[in-house]
Amino acid sequence: MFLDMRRPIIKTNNNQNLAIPLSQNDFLNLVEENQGIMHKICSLYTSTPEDHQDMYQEIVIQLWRSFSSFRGESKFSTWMYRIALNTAISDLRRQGRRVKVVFPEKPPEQLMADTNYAEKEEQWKQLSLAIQQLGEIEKAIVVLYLEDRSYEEMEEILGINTNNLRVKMNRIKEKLRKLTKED
Amino acid sequence: MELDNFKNTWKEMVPGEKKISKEELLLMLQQKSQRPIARMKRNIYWEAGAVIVLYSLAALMNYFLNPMFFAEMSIMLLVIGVLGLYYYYRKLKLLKEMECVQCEVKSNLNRQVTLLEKYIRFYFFAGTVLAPLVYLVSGYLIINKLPVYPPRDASFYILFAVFGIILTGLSYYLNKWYVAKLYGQHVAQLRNLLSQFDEE
Repeated sequence: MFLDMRRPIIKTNNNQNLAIPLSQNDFLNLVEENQGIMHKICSLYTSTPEDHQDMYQEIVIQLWRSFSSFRGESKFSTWMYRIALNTAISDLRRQGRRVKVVFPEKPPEQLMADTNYAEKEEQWKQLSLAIQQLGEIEKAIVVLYLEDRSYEEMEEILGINTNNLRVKMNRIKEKLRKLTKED
Repeated sequence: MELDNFKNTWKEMVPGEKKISKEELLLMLQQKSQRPIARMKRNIYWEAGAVIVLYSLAALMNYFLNPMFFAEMSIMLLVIGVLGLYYYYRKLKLLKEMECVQCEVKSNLNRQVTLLEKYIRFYFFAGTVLAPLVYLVSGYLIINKLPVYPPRDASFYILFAVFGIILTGLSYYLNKWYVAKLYGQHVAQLRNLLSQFDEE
């Protein structure tokens, strides 16, 4: 395997800029740590396991290609979300053949252990289906919202100003409420 | 279930997909990107390579086999080859600028739409101009290099001009249809995505 040393500037807690050599191994560690969110994004934007796998691979390739220019000017997560969402949203081929499926396929174990499991599972399915019916940009907003990203970070990732984001978020919540009631 | 109540469940959610090991990630890094822009770039390298090889060979063959008779044709082939290389260089430049995955999602989409439209305009112009250009070059060679038959009278030149105009018109409409078929849907989808940012 090839060794590729890169030197992004990482901001320390004291706001000092440090040039830290990052290797391919560091990159793999970062991707490994963040693969959960990457899978979640792929699940939202694809409908088959094959497409999911292809999109995941594409995101990893794009992250690696851009890694040398990561200067630590934004948080690693912000940078990663931008690349993952840009890759997912502009993948128009998969959007064309997308079919609506229940997302996620498996409810979390915590939910399955709940005493009101059947009821919660039903709600879970309804909301998952409703999210699937949102537009591509709305889905991106929902992902970031569910990941507890601040509106400022969402603005940095999506390029929508905070006020507009708040309005959009309220509309999305309303839309989801209506969609789950209709179901 | 409200979206806010969904947050905890979302965080707890373990994606159904299996965890991907470092070895698998390394294998992924060795794969080529399958995104349309990456594929278009690869195609351009192949096409430009083919143009260099074929035009050089054709020009050399013409020159050595018929140095007196076809020297002009060799030069024309070289000129067309050089124009072709500029065409590929310009396409490649636009494709390289077309995507910025590290940029904000909205500005990246904006950039894609703007540059793709520029790319299409260039592709359409080059495609439309190619047929009349080849026609004129061929006409020049026929008029100047072939024996006098058919006779070069006024009716010959009128016919030549009429065919040229018909060919240019056909080339224009055919290219318009082909470009719309190739990129029309893609641009419309990108525009649709962009419009979602401004939806009220």
